[in-house]
Amino acid sequence: MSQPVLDVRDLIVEYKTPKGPARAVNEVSFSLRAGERFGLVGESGSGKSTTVLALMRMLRGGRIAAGEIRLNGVDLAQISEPAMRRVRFAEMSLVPQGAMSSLNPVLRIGDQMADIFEDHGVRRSAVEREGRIERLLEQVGLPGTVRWRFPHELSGGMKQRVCIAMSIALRPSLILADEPTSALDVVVQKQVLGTLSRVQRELGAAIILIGHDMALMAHFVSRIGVMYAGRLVETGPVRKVFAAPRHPYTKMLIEALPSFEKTAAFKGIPGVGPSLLDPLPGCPFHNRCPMAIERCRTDPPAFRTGSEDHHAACHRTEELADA
Amino acid sequence: MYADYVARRFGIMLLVIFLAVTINFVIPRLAPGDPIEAQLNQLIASGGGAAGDVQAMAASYRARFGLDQPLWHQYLAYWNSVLRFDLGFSLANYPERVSQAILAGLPWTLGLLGFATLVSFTLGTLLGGIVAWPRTPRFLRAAGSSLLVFSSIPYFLIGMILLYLFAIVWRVFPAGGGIPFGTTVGLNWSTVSGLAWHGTLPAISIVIAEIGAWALGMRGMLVSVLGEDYITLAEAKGLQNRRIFVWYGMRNAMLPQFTKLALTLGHIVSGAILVEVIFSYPGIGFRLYQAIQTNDYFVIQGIVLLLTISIAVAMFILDLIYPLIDPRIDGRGR
Repeated sequence: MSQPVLDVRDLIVEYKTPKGPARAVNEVSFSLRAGERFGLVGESGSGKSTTVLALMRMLRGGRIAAGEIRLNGVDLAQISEPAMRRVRFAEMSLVPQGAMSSLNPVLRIGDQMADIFEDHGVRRSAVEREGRIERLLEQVGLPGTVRWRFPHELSGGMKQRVCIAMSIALRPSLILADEPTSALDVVVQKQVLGTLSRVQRELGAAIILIGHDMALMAHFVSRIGVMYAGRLVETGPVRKVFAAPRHPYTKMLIEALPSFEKTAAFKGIPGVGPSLLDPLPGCPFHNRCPMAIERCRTDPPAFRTGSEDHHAACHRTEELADA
Repeated sequence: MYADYVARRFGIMLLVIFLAVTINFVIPRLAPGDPIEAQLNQLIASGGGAAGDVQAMAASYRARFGLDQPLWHQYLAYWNSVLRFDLGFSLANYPERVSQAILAGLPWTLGLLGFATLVSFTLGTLLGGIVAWPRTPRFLRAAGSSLLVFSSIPYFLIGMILLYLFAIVWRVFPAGGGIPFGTTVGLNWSTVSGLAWHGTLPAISIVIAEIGAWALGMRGMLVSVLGEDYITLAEAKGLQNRRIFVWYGMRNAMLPQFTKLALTLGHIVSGAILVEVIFSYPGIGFRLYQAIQTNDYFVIQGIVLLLTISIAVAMFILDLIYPLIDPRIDGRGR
């Protein structure tokens, strides 16, 4: 197998708080091959978005306390701030969460795309640049004339398409999409995700899709990672994870999905996640886990290999797999 | 589309001016007492003349100023004279016309305050932006923040301190007046240097006092703009810090500053009364101060009218250029 595009090893992110450091991301490791689609799911506060911000090194008030982030072999945790600036969008781009408010209201779309080329030292004539911007917009299903528009003249779906066009402008090898459709309605969500999927395939970039919608995720990614309380608790091919989850939290997340086959009371996961300031001893999920045993309260479970590349951090993962 | 918008804004401006002229006409007539009798009594008291025929003199003056006519007639006549910029005579400096008094003071005030306002706007806005920008070096932010202390000192106090230090103790700058005596005004070096020499202290006192207000407004706006999603995306795009600061941060945070600037520029025709008085600067503010002291109703009225009209015009001009600085206001009724 060739070198992975992204290799994250034991990443720890801490936010400074008056009560001490809060670990928003705790010993997270995963890697992506070229062109691979990886999904990160988890409830609010599980550390998905913080992981993405850490990869971009754009944590506000937080810091990478430990770990490696190797992008195409270079450890981003170690390089200088100016070098990191040049990596952004050129090698790793971001499709933002708040499509409605992510564009500068006083600049035309074309100008907001042109400045990416300018600040990354892509020297082109004005005509060439215009043509490039026009083609990028057409690639995401927008007319090229959108480059003359201001953001307030576009719909939410169009704005998110503009953001997707920007994210592929410098042909990065990795795209981070942080809940790219959460601000859109269901119909537009599907279309925008379809567009993102198409341009990602054409470009051959790897992508990390963040979300909490398990069903949407299942359609889009090939591999999935489930986060809970700052930890990655299960990773594996999306089919295997859905068919036979190896962590009780994943199992409950999947069972919480509404189904057409059986009509039953809507199931959630009772309780709330633990405080990041005062982490639970042992397994972070033990206070909400129906399968918790005495050992889970004292002994943090290690990440264990199941079949092939399907892993989970649970003491009773074998019992789940057999069930 | 844009023509519609301009026409509507122009209509609003005309309405404001109409109301301003009307109120300016009504208010003095609602005030108790008779300004003519009061003025005559004052003249007689100081001159020691015969007191008997005050009533007759007042009546003849009323006839002379048209004050014996019915109110609607006076109102039309008032409009007629306003349109011809005929604001009547100064009571204190008769036979000087109010329009002459205003025109004599206006260039001084517009020059001094226009210059000082633009300088404090530019410096204050930049200062506020630098203080709010998180990547500004710490010492620079600390220095900038300490400058904001000046915004809490009233400008006449700063003026008095400057006057004491630079004009009385060190004698670097003149203590008053707009230009050295005996200068022949024209487009020549002695005029320009004379104006600058006399204008420095009053201008500095206004700039120092106002810079803080501009900086505070800008700091607050930029801090909230920097929390916007488009700043996060701009940073994710790997843009140069300078571009994020200027085109994503300052450019958006500037919008309310422009509104404030237009209002402030509209206000400058009334002068900076205290500064002009302290430096005996021959501007409108000084005239207004004298007029208030001498109950010179027509001069006061004229300056107030000029003030309201110039604010209305300034707001109209702002409305015209606002679509250029904020594309979301595009003349479609938003």
